[in-house]
Order: sequence, then C-alpha cells, then structure tokens
Amino acid sequence: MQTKNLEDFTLSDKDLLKYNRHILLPEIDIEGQKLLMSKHVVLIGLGGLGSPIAYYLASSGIGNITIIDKDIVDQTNLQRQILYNGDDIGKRKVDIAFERMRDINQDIDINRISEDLNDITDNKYFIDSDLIIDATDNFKTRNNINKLSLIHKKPLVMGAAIKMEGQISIFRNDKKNAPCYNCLYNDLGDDDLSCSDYGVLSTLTGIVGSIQANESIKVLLDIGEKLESKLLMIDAKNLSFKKIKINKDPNCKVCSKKIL
Amino acid sequence: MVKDMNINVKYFASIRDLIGKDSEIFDLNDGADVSDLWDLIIADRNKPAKLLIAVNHEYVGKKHKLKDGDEVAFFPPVTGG
Repeated sequence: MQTKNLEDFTLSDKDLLKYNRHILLPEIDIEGQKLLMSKHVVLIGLGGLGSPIAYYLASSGIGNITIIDKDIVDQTNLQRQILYNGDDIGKRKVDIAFERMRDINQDIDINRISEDLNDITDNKYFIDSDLIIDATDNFKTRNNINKLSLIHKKPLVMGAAIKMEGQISIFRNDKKNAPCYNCLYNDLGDDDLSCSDYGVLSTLTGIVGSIQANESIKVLLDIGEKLESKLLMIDAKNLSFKKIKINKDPNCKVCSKKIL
Repeated sequence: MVKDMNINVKYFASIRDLIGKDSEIFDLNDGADVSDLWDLIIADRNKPAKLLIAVNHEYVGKKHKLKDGDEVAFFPPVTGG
C-alpha cells in the first residue's frame, strides 16, 4: 500500500469530536484516524452490499472514496439497498450514494463513476488506491476486479450474498504467494446464481457488507486478525458461520502464470 | 470388508438443505478421496452445479486424499450480491 505523509493530515477540533469514538480505541487513536483520512478506497457496486459499505467508509473518515456503479435505482432495490428511498427511483445510484455519503461526512473526497466496470479504460483510480472492495453481483465482473487488483497490486475485499448465504474473503493481491479470487473460484463460469432469479434476504446483504467494511478498515490500519487468505461463510438461515483457509493454487490461470 | 477411515462430514448453507442434515459420519476405505466420498453422499440426488470443499478447515480440490479422522465440509459458491 502507498505511504502518505501523515504530517499532511491534521485533525480539527470538529474532527476530534467527529472521530472521538475511533480515537478512544487504542487500536486506532489519533494516528490511526489520520491514517484512515490519508487512504483511498475504491468501492465497486452500490447495491445491497455496497450500501452499508458506502455509509461506513464515509462515516469512518476514509479520506478518498471512489464509487463505481452503472445502475439506476429501481423499485426492487429498496428491500435491501439502504442507500436509496422511493424518491430516488430512476436516478443514477452513484449520484444518490454521493449525496448520502456527503450528508454524513463533508470532509472527504468522493469520486463517482457511473460506468460498467468492464468498460472503464482509465485506471487512474485503481493505480492511486490503497484497497479495492468488490460488492458486485456476478462472476464475470468479480473475475475482472480480481485481475485489476492483481495488475495494480492492491488488496481486494470480496463479499457475496444470495438467498440466505454469504461469503467474504480478503485476497492480498498486493503480496506474493497469497491466493487470488480465481484460486478459490476457478472456472466457475457464467452459470452463477443471481439474486434477481433466486432472491436474497435483506439483512444478509447488510451483514456481509458490514463485515467487508470492518475488514477493509482493519487492512488499512493493519490491526487484528483479518480474513486474509481465508473464506468466511455465513448461513443466515441457521445463523451458522464457518471460516476456512485458502491456499494459493500453483496452477491458477490468473495469478500463477505470467499473464500480468 | 473392514472400513479403515472414519470421516466427519459437514454440510453448509444450500448443501445442507440439499442433503437435509448438517452433518454425518462416513466409514471409507483407505485411499478414498473427496470425490469418492461425494459420490457416496450424493448418490441419486440432483447434483449441485458447483461445489466447494474444505478438509480440516482448509480449501481443497476434489482429488484430495482423505485420512482417518478428517473433517470434510461441503459448501456452495456464492457470487451474487
């Protein structure tokens, strides 16, 4: 990750109050809060997972946040996508998300890109970032995010949810010998299930998104035991959690060959 | 014929729904791998399109050789959001 000069980041009296409950934590303190203010996170997907992530990144004081989503708000989103309300139907998700995040925190920079990730040609936001969050909804896009994260050597925090089950993992694509998304999900192909076909429990997307935000903050601050090279599985129906270790696949078609 | 290996099997999320229970114990012959175990479990049920496997809390492939006392977990991939 990039190291920026923390001397350039100062906390005003307002900041000291705003981030008081972070500063009280010995794991964060003033230095940790300045570190969060110095970071740039790219959040891809502003749906059920991306909604709580966008709120928490903004309220936590991540200094620079790039949000990417090409979609327009529709009626079927409102059951779980808590960024939006009924008046937002027909509007671009990035614009509403920008307003909500701005309402929470006026002191952060937010870049909005209303494009399909697969169509983005300007990689400046990825090059400049410290961490990428995958909150999208299909295998093809996830695969592309994994490749982008490998090319630019950025940590990737992945979350997924369908029906009543969810999965979260951190792929340290900025480090050698760490497994990537494809080491786990190689050749899954296009026959993945979508929430529009199979449904998804509203609260599950909130749980998964919140854990993604939680793990993102921990990676940025390098605190605690993280989901790095591990997969957390959540069965919301039976409220059962399981964590497994993922190893780098020496034959992975994405991270082990010299395609990068 | 004496079975050599005692395998503790766990089913997670939609795989648990498919099998109808959260765990069971299997006795297998020495040399069996995960796909042998899965064939035994799935029998004439409808196979899920994709399956992920962990042995002793570590992600493995279908050809992973099992040993006595292993815990094998079967779970589905999740890509939606």
